Amino acid sequence: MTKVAKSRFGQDNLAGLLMSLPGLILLTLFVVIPFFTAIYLSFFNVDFNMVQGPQFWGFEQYRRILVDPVTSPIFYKALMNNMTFALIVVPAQTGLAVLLAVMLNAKLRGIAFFRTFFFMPVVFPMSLVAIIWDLMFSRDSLGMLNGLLNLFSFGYIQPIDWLGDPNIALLSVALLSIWAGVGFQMVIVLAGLQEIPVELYEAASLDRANRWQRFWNVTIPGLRNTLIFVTIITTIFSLRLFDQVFILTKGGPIDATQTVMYQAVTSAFIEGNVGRASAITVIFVLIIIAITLVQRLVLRQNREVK
Amino acid sequence: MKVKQISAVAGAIAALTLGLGVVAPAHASGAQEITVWAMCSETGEIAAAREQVAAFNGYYDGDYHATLSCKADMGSAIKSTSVDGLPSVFEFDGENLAAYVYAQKLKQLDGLVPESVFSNELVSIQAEGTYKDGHKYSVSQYDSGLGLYGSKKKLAAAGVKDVPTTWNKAWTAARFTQVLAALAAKAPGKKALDIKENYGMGPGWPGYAFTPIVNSAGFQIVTNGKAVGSLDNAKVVAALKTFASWKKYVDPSADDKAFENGRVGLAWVGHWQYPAFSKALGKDLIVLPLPNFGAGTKSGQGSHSWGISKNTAGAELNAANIFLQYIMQDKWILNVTDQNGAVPATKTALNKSVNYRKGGPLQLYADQLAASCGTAKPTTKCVTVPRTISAAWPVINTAFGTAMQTIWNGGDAQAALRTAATTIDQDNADHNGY
Repeated sequence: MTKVAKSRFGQDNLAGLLMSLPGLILLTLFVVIPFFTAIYLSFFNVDFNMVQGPQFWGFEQYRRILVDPVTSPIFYKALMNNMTFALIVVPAQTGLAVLLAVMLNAKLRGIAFFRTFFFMPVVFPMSLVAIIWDLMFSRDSLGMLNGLLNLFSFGYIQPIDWLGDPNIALLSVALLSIWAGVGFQMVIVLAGLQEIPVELYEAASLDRANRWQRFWNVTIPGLRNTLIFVTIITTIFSLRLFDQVFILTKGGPIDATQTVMYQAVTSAFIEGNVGRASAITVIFVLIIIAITLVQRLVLRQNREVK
Repeated sequence: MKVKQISAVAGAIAALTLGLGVVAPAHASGAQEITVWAMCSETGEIAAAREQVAAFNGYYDGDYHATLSCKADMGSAIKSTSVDGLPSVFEFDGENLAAYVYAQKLKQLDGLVPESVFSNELVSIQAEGTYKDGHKYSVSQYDSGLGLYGSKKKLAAAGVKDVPTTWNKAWTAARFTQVLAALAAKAPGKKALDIKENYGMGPGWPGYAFTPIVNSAGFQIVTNGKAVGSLDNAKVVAALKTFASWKKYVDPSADDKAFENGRVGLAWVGHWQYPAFSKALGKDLIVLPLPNFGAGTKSGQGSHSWGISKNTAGAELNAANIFLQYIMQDKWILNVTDQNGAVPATKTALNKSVNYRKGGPLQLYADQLAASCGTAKPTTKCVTVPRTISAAWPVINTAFGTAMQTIWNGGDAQAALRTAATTIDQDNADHNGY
């Protein structure tokens, strides 16, 4: 009996290994190898199409990014923007996702239609979303957002330079990112909602808990693990902010929407500076790992349902 | 199921690669094969590229055969392809010539393509195709023109009588400010100018459209290998501040049609808008030089170029050479310029062009290009300035565009230009001056 069980266990292991092999190969090819290559390249002065050949520079790239008085401020500005963006987007998007999910969890006729509707922006490519929003964000009174605000405020609100005003640009990017991304978190929360046993709600009703009390004391605790996952994934998503910025603002105005990812990508693929780009990504990965670890420590996932 | 999907995807990718002509189809006739990469972003240019390749294959049937492959993003394609992977002949954005020569991806063309082909090119194009070693690396079918378009009626209604039509009579920046104010006062939306803000004020458009402001202040972005002292010169700072002060008169043109739809009386843009503008305004349209910031009006030059990749040799090189000469015939130059509206890049084709020849509506562009400053310091005697012919151009373009964006949005012009100039110089030092 034990022997059979053991051999079956071995077979399962083998099958498991085989099945994870494609994933492991892809991860190694596209994540592990590039990461170690990036660490290696970050110690060199190396460009695309460089004729003089790479030169070993030690920590020069890191010095320029982190310490140099002329070239380092932009990196810290970008990092600050990333943090600000995450601080806006993570709570707003998670909160909105829960709200939408609770609303769309209702057992109504045609609810599938609404679920699809709210999920749709996630399916659209970000480049498309950004171009549409670029038109809506136009700084003159012909822009859709400005037009709407003007109409509903009876001409009181003057046209806002959504992407050109350094104080507003990052908020505008956050607004469109939330719109485009919230459907994804919503679907995850929706799945989490459906895992909460109906009996808990029934018991709460018997205890005469009202809707609000049921939401706070049954729904939210029931969603705990889901919410932790959603928060962590949203944080990571918002830290790697790039597409919207590349299309809408190119990091401007006055560096108001510079992000670390934007600097890494433009350093490498516009300026051809592979060494600098590699160093930026290495620093950034370390920062993201640190943030994720802290989050996991603070928000311990419960393995069992209470 | 998964496996099926994967093999379907793999099949699709294979089909796509084949379709793109990465695998050259076997040609039974024994003709010498060449591969050609063309820039395919605009419909008219795509059609013209196909037509000239088809005509080449028809004309040299049995001797030479070209296989065309279209690239939507040629810059990335060339940057990410090693010289062995490049086709025999490729089209590229002329501003990148120096970067490709530096990266040893382009073949020297003088001594290969007949001298008569080069000497027939416009002087601006000859300058664009010449690297700092004095050799030629490209030929071009067309050049670009940059200036102002105006509505005669709107200017007259605003009381503007001194409308310049030749480059040596360009408005000064101070006069231009008055013109904008007068136009804006008469416009329903209180806007006077379209600078195609919708093309993006970050790196890209400013490198072409607003470098002439730097030049018109009397400077190049880089002088004798140094940007500090040139790009951040007080005169340049003042000129760009004046430019930024016009923002209140500028329609952001989110619909790309501020000028055609009559919201503004002036547009700061290139030749490619001429077909649309002349259709919308008819006889009311005039073409004017850009304002003068002190050292005379300046304008941009340069467009797409054609070159042969460095490793092309033997019979293939001969066929590539024949191909370049074939497409440099006036007939094919005019075929593409008729479709994209650009300035024909040879003197003979220019004279045959209805729009650009003497007395044509766009003669100003041809005159500006004939007065190219080349790589010398810009003076009042010349107009068009090539974008810095240096392998550092991508870095220069990004640094300048970033500074322009800051200045346009009200940031500190002096500081922004200082940072840009420092970045450019540091990059230059990192590459031992390229």
